[in-house]
Amino acid sequence: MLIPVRCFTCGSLVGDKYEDFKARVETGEDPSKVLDSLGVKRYCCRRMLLSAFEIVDYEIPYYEAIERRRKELLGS
Amino acid sequence: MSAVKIKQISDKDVDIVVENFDIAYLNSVRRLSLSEVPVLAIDDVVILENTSPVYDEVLAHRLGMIPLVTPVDRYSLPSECDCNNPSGCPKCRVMIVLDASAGESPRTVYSGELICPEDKDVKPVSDRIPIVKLAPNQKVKVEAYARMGRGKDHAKWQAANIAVLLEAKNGKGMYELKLETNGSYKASTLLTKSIQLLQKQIKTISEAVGEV
Repeated sequence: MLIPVRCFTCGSLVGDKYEDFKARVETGEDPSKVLDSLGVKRYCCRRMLLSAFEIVDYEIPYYEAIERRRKELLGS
Repeated sequence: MSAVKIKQISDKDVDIVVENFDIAYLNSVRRLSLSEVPVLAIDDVVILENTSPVYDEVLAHRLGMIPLVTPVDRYSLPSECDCNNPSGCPKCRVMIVLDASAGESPRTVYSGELICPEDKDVKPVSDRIPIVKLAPNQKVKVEAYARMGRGKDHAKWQAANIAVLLEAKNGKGMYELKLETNGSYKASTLLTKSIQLLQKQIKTISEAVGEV
């Protein structure tokens, strides 16, 4: 759903670095260099960030739609 | 004569080279730092309200995995605490609360919003760990209890991420011990804690043998 808090293998904290990582990769930076600069050195932790996918972002629009519909019904 | 040389030290990791010393003791220190040194982690979660897309159990698990800054020697393991109370006492338990809601737009709730009213020194290692994402008008209200625990019982209580012992490159009989913490303790504290624990365990054994 969301980025895991810790690395599955070694237990090091990775959750707090994901947003920074994602934003910088989207601007076109090389993911491996971004990971190096964030201090993620082992490959177990690196794959956590590289392969993460936040499916909650796909769920939230549905809840937003429910909320809009609720307001419409209340308004009418 | 045995000698210890500090190769590298920071808050997060420590790297020492030990000369003329029994490798078995060093390995015990390594293993104790991984699985026996107690740290704080959220253990009990009371979910008062959760309308977020994240399920209660996922939320509780995420809260548990958040590394907490542990004040040295302030808390004791519930099994070693003299309170004899299954729900704990101020010496073996801390309450942490989270109360977050989204207004008109979706938002992410971060670990910085966790508040520990009883002890200001207990806080998440980082304030930027995402806990849940909320859609408009959703709410999360949680009361959590952090306890001390050991790495061998659950990975959330693991004080060291990395602990390796290897033969130093230059010279026979020289060993290198590397420890890396997740931030709950400083690396130097973790090393001294593991050594103290080994001393305590050896004392327990020798006393037990003495009685035989």
